[in-house]
Amino acid sequence: MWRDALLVGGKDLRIEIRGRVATMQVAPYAMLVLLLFGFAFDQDHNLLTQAAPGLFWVAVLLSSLLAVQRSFAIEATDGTRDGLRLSGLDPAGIFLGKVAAVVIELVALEVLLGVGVVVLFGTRLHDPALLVVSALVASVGLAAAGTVYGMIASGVRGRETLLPLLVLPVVAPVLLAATQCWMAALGSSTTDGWRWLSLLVAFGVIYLALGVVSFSTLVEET
Amino acid sequence: MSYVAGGWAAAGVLVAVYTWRTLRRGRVLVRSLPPGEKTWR
Amino acid sequence: MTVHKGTANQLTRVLGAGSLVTVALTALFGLWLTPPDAVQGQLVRLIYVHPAAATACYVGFGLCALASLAYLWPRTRSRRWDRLAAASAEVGVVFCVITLATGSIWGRGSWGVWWTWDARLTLTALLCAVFLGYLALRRTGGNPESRALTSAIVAVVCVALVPIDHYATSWWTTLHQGDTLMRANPLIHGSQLYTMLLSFVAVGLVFSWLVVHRYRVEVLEDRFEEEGFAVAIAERRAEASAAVQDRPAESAVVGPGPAVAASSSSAGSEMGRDGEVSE
Repeated sequence: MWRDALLVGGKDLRIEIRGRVATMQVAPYAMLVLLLFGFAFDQDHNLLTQAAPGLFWVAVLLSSLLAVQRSFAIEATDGTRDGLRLSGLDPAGIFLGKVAAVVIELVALEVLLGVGVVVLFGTRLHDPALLVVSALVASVGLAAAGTVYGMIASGVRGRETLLPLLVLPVVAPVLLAATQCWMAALGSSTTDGWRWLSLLVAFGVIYLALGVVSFSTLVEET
Repeated sequence: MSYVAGGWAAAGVLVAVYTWRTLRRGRVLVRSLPPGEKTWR
Repeated sequence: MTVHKGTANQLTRVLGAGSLVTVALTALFGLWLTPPDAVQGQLVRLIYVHPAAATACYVGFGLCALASLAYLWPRTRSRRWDRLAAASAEVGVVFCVITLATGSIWGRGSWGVWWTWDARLTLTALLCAVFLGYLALRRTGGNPESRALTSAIVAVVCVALVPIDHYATSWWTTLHQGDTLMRANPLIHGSQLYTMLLSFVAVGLVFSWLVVHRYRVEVLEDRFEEEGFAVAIAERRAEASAAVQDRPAESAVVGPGPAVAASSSSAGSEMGRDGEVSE
């Protein structure tokens, strides 16, 4: 299973690096979202600093949708799905590999966006450990949920519009918890960030377990 | 008082519209069944 | 032609009549016969709609999750559970929207805002969005078996996430607002209590009546997906031609086999229509 995961994850990442879609389209899109938030809040520096964690995570959420869509778009052409199905790879391995690839993409994106937030909105760091750990855990949760629903949505018509409708309400608690973690980590609120982190961990574990259990059915059926 | 009326009306309208739509869907489907089988089963 | 009864039968007629009577009684008691509340005034009359609708919504979603679990369990796998999940989720969403609407109106009346980020309200809104996604997934078509399986998985996941959503929303709201905006629970007693219980009976009857009808619609739609629409379309054409040319087409319907008779009469109607145009 782990070997299969490495195989699939490595393949996805190689495609993304060589295709340059992630770097040339998704990353600029995320930065653009940040810029638009700046316009929407009318250069109000205090407001932007206050809202920075939330805006950051909304930008990550929107970009994660694109990342998941990419992750399944590369399986959609040339009958690759059937190839994947017939390859004899462990479905759980396929799931974990895809999740890992999306997590790595998201983390790269978060680093970029984090720099963007610091530069554009002028925030200061308070608790870097919490910042990094919560970002990692939240990315795992987002990627796991996104991959489960990406697999479900990839088999049906209208998938471009169905995926956001399925994913966004489900990952709403991730947005809430990650934002609270970051607010604590950036020192803009006095909440107990580690308590929110436990919620992120629970979400990630539930979706990873669920994906491992159900992915064989989903690969067969959709 | 107008809030009460609004709340009751909203609930009533929603249920009425949904009921009408569901019953109509059922009627149209039953009517389209092959001849001789005019029940929902 | 016979009168088409739709998806009704003895059971739904009893349920429908029962729900009509109880809803009328609830409206009579709730809107006129019970006194206004000491704290809430006339606004208390919304208590005869809102809690019952909220309960129906949660029952609908819970039923959907249980039916989906029953479908996923190999021993009890049956399309019936899938249909029940579809029906109860859809009716649940209807009651969820009613809950949100009446709750919002109540909030506006009692503290002047349409929406408060109350934990339970936020959770209900999230659930509504989640189940709208579930219904959208169901509507995408495809192979019925695989659709049933994937939507069952999605439904179970949605409900499994309720605890996480619950903690997230309640921590979040206690963080932002004190107890100032908490709902001032009116004291319930006497006729108000009985009317509220009656409203639960009424909404329960309406709920089950709708679920039964919706379930049967699902049965019919499954049949049409499996048997195809060809027969139905032929039949519709036969009826149309019977309406245009009074007798002859109708006698054509009474043929040896349903499909043959329908197709032959539809061909006849096409010819007849062509003839009319050329004349």
